[in-house]
Amino acid sequence: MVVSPELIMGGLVSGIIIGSLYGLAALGLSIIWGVLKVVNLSHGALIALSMYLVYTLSVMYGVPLPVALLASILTGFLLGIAAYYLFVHRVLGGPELASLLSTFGFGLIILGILELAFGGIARTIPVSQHVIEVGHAPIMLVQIIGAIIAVAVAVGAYLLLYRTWFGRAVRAVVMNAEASALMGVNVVRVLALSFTLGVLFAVTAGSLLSLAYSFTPETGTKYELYSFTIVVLGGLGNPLGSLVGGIILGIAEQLTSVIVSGSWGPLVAFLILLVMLIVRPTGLFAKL
Amino acid sequence: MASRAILWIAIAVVVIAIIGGLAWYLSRETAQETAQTPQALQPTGEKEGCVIKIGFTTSLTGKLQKESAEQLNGIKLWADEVNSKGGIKLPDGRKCTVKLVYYDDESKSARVQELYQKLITDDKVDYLISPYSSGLTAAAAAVTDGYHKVMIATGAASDSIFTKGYQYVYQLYTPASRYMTSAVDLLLELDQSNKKVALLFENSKFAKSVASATKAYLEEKGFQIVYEDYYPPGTTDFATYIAKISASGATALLGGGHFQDGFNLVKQLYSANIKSIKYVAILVAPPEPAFAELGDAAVGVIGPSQWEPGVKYSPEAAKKLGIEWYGPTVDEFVKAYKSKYGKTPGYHAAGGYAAGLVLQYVIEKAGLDTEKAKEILDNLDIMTFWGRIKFYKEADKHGLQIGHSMVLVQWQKTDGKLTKVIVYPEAAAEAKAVYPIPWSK
Repeated sequence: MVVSPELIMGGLVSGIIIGSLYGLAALGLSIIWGVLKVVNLSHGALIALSMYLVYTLSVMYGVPLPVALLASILTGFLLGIAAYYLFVHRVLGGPELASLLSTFGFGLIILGILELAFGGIARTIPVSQHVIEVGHAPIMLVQIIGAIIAVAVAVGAYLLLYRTWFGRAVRAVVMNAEASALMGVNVVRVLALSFTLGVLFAVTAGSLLSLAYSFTPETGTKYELYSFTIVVLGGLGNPLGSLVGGIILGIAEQLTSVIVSGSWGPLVAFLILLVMLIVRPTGLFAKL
Repeated sequence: MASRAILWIAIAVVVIAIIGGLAWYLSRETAQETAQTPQALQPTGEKEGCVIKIGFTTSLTGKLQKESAEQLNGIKLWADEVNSKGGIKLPDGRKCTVKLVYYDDESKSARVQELYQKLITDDKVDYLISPYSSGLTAAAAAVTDGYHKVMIATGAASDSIFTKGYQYVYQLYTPASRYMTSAVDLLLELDQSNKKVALLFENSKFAKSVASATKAYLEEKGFQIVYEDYYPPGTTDFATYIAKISASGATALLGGGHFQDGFNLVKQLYSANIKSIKYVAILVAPPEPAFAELGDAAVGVIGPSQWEPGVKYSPEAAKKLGIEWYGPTVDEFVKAYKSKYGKTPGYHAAGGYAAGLVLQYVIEKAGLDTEKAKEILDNLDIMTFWGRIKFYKEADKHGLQIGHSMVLVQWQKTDGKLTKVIVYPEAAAEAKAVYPIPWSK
């Protein structure tokens, strides 16, 4: 079949929309990794958890959707603080394996609870099925809204890190924790808030994604894997890097499916990752 | 600090207690069954009070837990029914009760191989049933066939297990190669002019083997394949695939792979509202009750299923075909299952029961003589509540199921309520298929 420019347009637009959401999910991983030097292996589980929170509130208890979304994000915020002190704080500065295992364990607990409570059956949240067609590609309205929120959050995160006192403190801690402590920065609080921020981004992405697609407890794993790729692509800790990285991955995936075949998607995505690692291992954007 | 250490120890004890409790809870079923095995010493039951041991593994834990649990329910129901009637009557006149010997395989091939070895050499079981899933069954068969033990494979639809030259493995499920062919047959019956087909399957072993067989069948029947693609496992967004299908001018779509991707595909297909597509058949997802969550998007979607509680197989249907009817009727099975477990059986449960039923038939005719059992199975052609059962007996695909066929279900809206009805084949159908799919009007 001949690939018309119309189809390519559709792939491009859908890639940007989907990619922004990938980017938002990756942002959570990126901040935590960049600031705390902790690879948060509970990232995917947290994304899944937020999906089920929205589901439980809106479908099972009939809470209006916007309220359910906000409640899910707020729960993510509280959980982030709790998780930091329970699972992360004690292993900071220890061997890398310690933080890997502790966040991995936290993730397993979440997944275990989700499996017990909901089982492996796919769930879906009934929202408007309205689509806008771009070059034959049906793009859901909820996806577009999600993408706009994702971009807004990424820009907001950028401003927070580069235009506020808190952001300066975060960057100071990244450069030299001891020195910033001597300058009066409350390092523990900065770390805790950065971790919470990361969790917040993950649950925001999860809550938005839950509206577009059905999900199971394992769904988060896919986004976790993508997040790793995006973080390498975009550069650690930089919010705009994550967003751009996500969009690049989204476009690559969708255009591959338009031009060649969908089954080539993962190949192209990881080829980009490989080339990036060879050519520019620090990522597209400078480190935090 | 000492108090701190005590706190940590206390936490550790609580955590271990919780994990231990959970482990006990999950494993108690197996323990109950297997704890009794030492008492049933003479395994072949030479003297009076004979016991026939049926061995298998089941996935009490791991990713196959849900389907496996249903299959196990089916097997247990069969064993209970047999034993409540005093057992199975052997050709030599003895009546033997059935004892199920099973272990948790954790959904892992390596465990399956260890445990089937153990079932044969330590527990000395007489007959075997497969674990759930093609992957685990293939692992089990690699061990059991060498011991010349008859194994009824249920919950396994792969064709490739039966091209390896095994002589004692027999398949109950319709194999993947015939999963979608009845959907093609139905389309031919509904509309001779609908010839432009799009194929969009998951890039997984099972879905691809269904796809290649379906493609060959479509070409043989004179269809034109205008689009063909395979999406990676775990795909959630189908916008670009749908764009290409829409541009291809296809009038029918066959595809799918697992539940979630099939579900999302149909959801997006519906919202895309492609008017040209009149017929949609999807693997795996449509027969699941959760598919109803799609609401209006589910209406008109066709899906193949191994078995449904509403199938119309009956002694009369068997008579028409000139073959023997064996075992309970569909209604009797559904009723017994409901009263034991409080829910309607799905095809996993029915497949489990049917595996026991086939063994019962064989034991009645052949006793515990494996070679005789093999001969009976090779020439078997019966109808049960599960449908027709007949095995391929030549060496190249020995044991492959050739009698049983898929039924097609379709979600229809009757009086504003979404219901799943069987629409094909005619012998099993509850209603006529709705065509074209409502959204194309």
